[in-house]
Amino acid sequence: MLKIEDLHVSVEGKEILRGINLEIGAGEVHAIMGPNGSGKSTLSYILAGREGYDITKGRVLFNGKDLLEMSVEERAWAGVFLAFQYPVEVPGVSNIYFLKAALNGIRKYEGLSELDAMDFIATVKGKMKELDMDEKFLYRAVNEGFSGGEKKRNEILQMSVLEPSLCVLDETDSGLDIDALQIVAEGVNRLRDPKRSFVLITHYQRLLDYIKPDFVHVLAHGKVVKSGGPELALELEEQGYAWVDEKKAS
Amino acid sequence: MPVTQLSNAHYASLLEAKQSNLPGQDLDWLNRLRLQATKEFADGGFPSLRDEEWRYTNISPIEKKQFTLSDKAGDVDASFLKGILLDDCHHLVFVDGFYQAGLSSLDALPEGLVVSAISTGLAENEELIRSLFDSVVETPALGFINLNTALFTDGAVISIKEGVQVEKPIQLAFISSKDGALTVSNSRNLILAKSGSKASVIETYHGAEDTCYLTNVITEVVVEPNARLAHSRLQAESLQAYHVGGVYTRLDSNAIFKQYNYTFGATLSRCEVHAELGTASDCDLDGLFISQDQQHMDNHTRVNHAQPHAVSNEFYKGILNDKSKGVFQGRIVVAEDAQKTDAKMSNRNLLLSDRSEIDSKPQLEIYADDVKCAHGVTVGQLDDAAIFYLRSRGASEQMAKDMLTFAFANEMVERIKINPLKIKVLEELLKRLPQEGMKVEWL
Amino acid sequence: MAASNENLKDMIGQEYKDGFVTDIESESFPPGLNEDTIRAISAKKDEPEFLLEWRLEAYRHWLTMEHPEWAFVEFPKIDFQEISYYSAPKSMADGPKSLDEVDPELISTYNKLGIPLEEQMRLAGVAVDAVFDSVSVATTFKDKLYEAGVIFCSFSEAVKEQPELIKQYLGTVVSQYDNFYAALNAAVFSDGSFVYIPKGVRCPMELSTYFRINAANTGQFERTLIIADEGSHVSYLEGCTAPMRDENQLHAAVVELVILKDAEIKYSTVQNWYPGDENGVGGIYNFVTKRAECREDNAKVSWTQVETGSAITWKYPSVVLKGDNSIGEFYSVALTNNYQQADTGTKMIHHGKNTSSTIISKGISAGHGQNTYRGLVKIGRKAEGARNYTQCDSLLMGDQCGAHTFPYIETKNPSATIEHEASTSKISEDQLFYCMQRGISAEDAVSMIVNGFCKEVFKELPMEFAVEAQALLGISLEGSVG
Repeated sequence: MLKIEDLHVSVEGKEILRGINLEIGAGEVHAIMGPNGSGKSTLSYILAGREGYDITKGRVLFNGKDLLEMSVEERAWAGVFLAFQYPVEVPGVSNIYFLKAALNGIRKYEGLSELDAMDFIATVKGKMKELDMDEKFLYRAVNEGFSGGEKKRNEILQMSVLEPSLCVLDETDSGLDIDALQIVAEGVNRLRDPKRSFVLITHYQRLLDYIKPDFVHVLAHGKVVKSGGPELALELEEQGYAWVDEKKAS
Repeated sequence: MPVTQLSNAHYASLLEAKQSNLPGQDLDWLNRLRLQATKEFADGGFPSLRDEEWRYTNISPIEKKQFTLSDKAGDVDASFLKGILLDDCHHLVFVDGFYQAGLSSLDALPEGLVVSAISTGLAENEELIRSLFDSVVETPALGFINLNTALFTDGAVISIKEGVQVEKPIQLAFISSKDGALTVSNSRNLILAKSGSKASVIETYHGAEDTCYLTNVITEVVVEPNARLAHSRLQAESLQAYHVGGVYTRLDSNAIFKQYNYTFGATLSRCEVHAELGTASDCDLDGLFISQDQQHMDNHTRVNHAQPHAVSNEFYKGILNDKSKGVFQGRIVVAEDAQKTDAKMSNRNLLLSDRSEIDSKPQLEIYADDVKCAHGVTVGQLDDAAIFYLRSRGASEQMAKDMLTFAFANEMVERIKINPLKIKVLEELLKRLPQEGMKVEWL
Repeated sequence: MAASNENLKDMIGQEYKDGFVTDIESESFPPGLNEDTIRAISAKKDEPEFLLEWRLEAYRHWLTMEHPEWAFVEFPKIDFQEISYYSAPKSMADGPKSLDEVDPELISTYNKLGIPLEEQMRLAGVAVDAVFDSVSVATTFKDKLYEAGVIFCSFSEAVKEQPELIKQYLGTVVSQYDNFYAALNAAVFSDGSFVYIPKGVRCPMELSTYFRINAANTGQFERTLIIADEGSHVSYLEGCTAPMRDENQLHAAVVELVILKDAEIKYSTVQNWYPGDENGVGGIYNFVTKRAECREDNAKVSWTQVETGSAITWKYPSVVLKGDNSIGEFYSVALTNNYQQADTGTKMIHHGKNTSSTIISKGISAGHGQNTYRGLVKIGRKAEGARNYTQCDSLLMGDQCGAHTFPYIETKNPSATIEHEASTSKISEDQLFYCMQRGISAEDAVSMIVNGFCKEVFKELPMEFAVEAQALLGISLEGSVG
């Protein structure tokens, strides 16, 4: 589904990613872990197409297409979804309107007709219930005045409504208490599907207790320094990230 | 002849009459400036209510009074002077517009600091004075600036060398004596804080009780890159006096300027604080005015964000009692190039009497798009819940109100970092907002 | 619920849609202004003597006045002798008695603008007075309103039918000497709308006036007078359009609202005069005096305006709060794109006890547009317990435009509570990226955010107008997203 080849990225002349190689198959869950400043968030922004990054080398293929050539919204239409570490507040624009606009954008891309408002609301309400979200959130402005946990839940709600094929979750566990984390994780697990892949970007093992990854990669200083199965995450939890630096030193 | 015409002719004639008494007569550049300003004043005169910038302040009493120029400084009582000079400062004392070396203390000036009166330092510091004079002040059309340029008798010139940190604040004390009745003192101060320097300047204005006079003062300030200047202004003129003053500052890149403006005196006062901000400079303007009886206090500020990334923060509070009137106008201009500007302005006012009045005009003028600008104004009363709380602890209603009014003002006083000045301002505050049993030491 | 994305997207692609010219034979006065012009207008309207005198007083005073220069707008000096002060379709000369007699060309003009005047097609629940250049063409639902006791007719008709009401109220809110353009209007106004809601009546339908400038080189000077008698209630809407022409045209209207005890007027405007082209050529100068007087206790007035058109908008719908407990509200969206200029806001003058006012102003600047909020809140000596809340927000799109805020706050009563807040923002890169990551195009995202920015004002508009207003914003922002 996703193939990253020798990806080099700089910001204002400083190299952040120094040759990332990663292949993610359909239905797989990959966790990318690493210390602060290792380039995790940069990777997520590159996949979503944020401006301000210089891609100096390498390429990214999404279902065989050159992802880096696509505009931000084209990627969204094609099925790339980024759950933001800091979901953005959009004052004055209601959640329901935002969601409907987003969904209809995708449906149009897929050549489908616009969704009927009644059906749409029924679907969304069902999904909100699963995420333990109050219906009133629908009529509030996107993320405005939401608590940290509410914002993260709202991201998962959008994900479940838009049904993307590649979900990139950037530090989704940050700012969540244990109850909220469980709810969010259940929401993600419900969406697991042989046709859908996940990239979980996280600093801690915590999230992985609830969402079991198939593969774990350790990112440090802009490179994948180690890859393995779920056991690698536990190893990291025990040892911390210090060995990463040692490894670099040696 | 109408009053305005008489007044214009009167003030314009002072230059000719008093020229021999003004400093720098042998300097061509200065004479040209004085002549030019005299001519402009003769044509334009003082501003009127029709000028948008003066719509709330009527200066016709100044036209009617036809103040003259003193020939020399009058006597100042030693005890009066003692109450004015702040501890732990370098002092320059001006009486009726003339420098008084005998009353000043400039003996222990640190290395790298030039402080002198214009009258005595003109020969030694001519280049410095010439480079600063008229270099920052704006809107010359406002007659008071022309009058000052034409007729200034003295003032301070201060220059802080690159990288020098001046420990003690420099106090410029302007005093009007009894002998100065019905005269106008025109003073001009010039301050240059060179790169990386740090200093603090305090201007104070006092006058003999029950004496009517006019203070017309301009301070021009240049703060060079990475320099930091704190500038405080305490206006506690005689209640019969008129005071028109301005602080005009240019901040170079990364410069820091902190202005504290306390207005208590004069029957009519107007103060302009203007700052032109360079790239990534940082400017705070704080103000407090407390008016009583029939006082009229007008504070105008103007912050020009001319370059990107600068930050400005403005906070003015007013308390108005009796039949007094307050005016606040704050204007923030963000130029096209000044992206990433962060400008805030806040004006809060408390009206204590049903005959007092406040006119507030906060303005934003924005030509750049990536900026954060906000302003807020409130006019209101004391918080009922707070009054109730204090009363529930045994304070009388009046005492509770007095305490809260004092607290409203004290928020601005607590920002003063120079202790002797803080005590001085608190004394002025307590004179106007008496607190039963309160002692300055407790604050 | 806002219009869907698709709709907005379609609309963004459009140009000024009401810019067509109606080809109709008009009778116009030659350009020029003197006492004879005024006598001629008055004679055309068959006016009583007192009204002619009133016009002449205004004119004589106007001659002594200087053109005001304080606004934050720039335009070349207007030559008042170059303007024609009266223009009416020839077919209206005999004063058609019913709609059947009205020139079909006129009816089709209004159909084209989405304002059907024919009986069978009329907008349900909205009575319309259609003003074409200097005259009222038709007023719908007059009979139905008459049954309820409501008088809704053209100003000219009111002068004939209700001279006593005109005499009693004309110029009592905006006098014939009030300001330069109000004095000019008083001298030369040609028509407009008149509304009287009698005691205790709740007007059974929305009233609306639709203004259309058609003829070239004419000025439009209409005058609207609305009186809400004790305990009555009315909601009134006005809309405006004009053809695309390269010359600037002057529209100097006066609106007077009188609100008596316990009565309420809700006055909504969607102003879409031709704004000029993308280079700032042409467009209407919209210099209007609008004022309401809450003359007695518990009166309430609410101004809502969406200003997307005009080359220059210069107006301050104001409220004089005389009665105790009276309420004034002002909700405004002003958009300036290309080279449009707007200097608009309100005045809230508090005299009565416990009077309150609310000001919500949203300015949007795009292209080279200059957008100024100017407002006065004045609390008089006797306005015990008066309250005001003001919020002015500016949204900047692009780095060539300007947003300015000039509030004046004058307080003479210590029991007053005034809160004023202003902010300036832009649509952030983060917001756009977030929307785009969810598959919403940049242009749609901007429309959504702008509509969200204006929501507090739109919710004050009657339903049909809210949709129209949103649509207008979509069109007016065309090309402003880079």
